[in-house]
Amino acid sequence: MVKAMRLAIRAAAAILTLSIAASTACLARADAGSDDETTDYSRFWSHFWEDKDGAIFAKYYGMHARISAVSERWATVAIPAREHDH
Amino acid sequence: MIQTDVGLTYASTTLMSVVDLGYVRSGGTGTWAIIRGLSFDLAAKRMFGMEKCPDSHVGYGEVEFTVDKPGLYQPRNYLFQFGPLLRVCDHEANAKFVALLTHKSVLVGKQTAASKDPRVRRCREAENRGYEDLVLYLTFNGLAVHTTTFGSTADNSYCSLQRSLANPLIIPYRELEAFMIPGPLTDELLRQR
Repeated sequence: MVKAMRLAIRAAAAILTLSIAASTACLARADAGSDDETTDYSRFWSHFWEDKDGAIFAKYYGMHARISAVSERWATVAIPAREHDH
Repeated sequence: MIQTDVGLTYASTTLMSVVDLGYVRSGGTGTWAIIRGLSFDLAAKRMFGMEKCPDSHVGYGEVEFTVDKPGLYQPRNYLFQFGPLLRVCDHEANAKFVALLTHKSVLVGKQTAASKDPRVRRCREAENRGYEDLVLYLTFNGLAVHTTTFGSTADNSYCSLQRSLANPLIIPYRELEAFMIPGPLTDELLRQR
């Protein structure tokens, strides 16, 4: 049970780390301009992804998703609209 | 990939759920949303989501191509099992599950009638909501049923990429008892309010 909890906590930490990395990367890119390819994101990397549990997690993480068509223009319009509301 | 929402929605010593929403940056007009709900059975060290039924070899949302009649295929499969918790594996159960979602959607529409959130206003309309291609995850208040398909790609963008009062629908576990698989994990959820 303790081992399972530890695995789950590491998985959650990995998701959140990856999420922060993705968000930060997007923000940094928006600030820096489209020609900025030099930013170092390696500090967001977790060793979790490199071990056996991480590889299993990555496989299932990729599987458990649904993909649907969206409009990128509407997506960018829709998301700030909610931020203004709160 | 632009991440639009992420959250740890349920955590106990036995179960955990996360949601992760985003879209692929394409630079064009149309692109793809990635809607992910992931749940963990911690004791069994297993992740689960919408899975195929035990007696089926066709996954949720997949089609079965026929060999006998090339080019023809069965309707898309929307029967599913949600890990060790929920089983909607025959068409009668699926019809009841969709009826429950429809009822809840109408109820949410009434409850949020005064909402000024543009996303809620736009997404709460029951007729606009698809009851296929669902993503499920756990919350302390009930099962989150996240719709990924609405009336148009613009509506998909508005309604599926961030959580709001209109999406996901939260179905209290007590209302799902008919679909739940008996066991200690189910008992834990039924003890939630």
